[in-house]
Amino acid sequence: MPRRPSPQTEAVIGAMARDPATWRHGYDLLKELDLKAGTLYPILMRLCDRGVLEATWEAEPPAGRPPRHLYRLKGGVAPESRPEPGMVPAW
Amino acid sequence: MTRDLPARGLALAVRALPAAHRDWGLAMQAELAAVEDAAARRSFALGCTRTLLTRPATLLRLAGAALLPAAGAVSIVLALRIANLGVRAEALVLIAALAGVLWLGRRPGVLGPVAADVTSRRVRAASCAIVGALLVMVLLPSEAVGKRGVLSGRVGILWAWARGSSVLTVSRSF
Repeated sequence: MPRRPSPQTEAVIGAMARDPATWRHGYDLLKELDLKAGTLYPILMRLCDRGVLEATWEAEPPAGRPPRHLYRLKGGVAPESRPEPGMVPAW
Repeated sequence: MTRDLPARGLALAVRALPAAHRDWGLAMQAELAAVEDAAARRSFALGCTRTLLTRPATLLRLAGAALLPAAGAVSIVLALRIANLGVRAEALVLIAALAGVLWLGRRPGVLGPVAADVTSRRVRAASCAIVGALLVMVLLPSEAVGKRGVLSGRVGILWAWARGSSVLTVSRSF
């Protein structure tokens, strides 16, 4: 039986849905939503595994820094125009 | 890239990750590299480290890695209990040789790490199991098999050796 997403998961999806086509850094999301890394990353992992989010690596990182991961809603489409993501399996 | 305590701690946690989840560890490291405030770096690295180390897949991998030292310790204890001096020396040399092979199995070269795919790991585990069986035969003489617990002890040592070896000698180039 599907469970409701946690408030933090809903907050992440909500933040991404405000501009679904834009790729976001994990740390920016963390600051925007005032979440801890230990809360945000499990959510990002689950949502990526579930196919709600997609991730890619930065193409042109600043000199001296490794490329960062970028996240956005799958296909850059807001969730209301896609099937209900339902609940995410534990990992 | 800054190599302060948070970065080092996170790097250790990333090393413990199984291949399938390595990208997430690298993503966290890259993110940490973009954080400049010292307190924020500590908090971010701590959260990421906790996330990585509490994943079931990571815990399984760490448990697998811990099996081998345990099997080694049990083997040494059993070897030291062998009454015959020659056989005892033979057993200790065999244990040392196996430890050497394992060390080589983690370094680039002919005996180096195998790929992280299932077939490679099974072949490596099977070869380790054969060698482990030889060790068990030396450590536990055949007349002891009838005694309670000895057979399961043999199987336990063998399994721990094979499992630990296959976990530790998988390619880390993921």
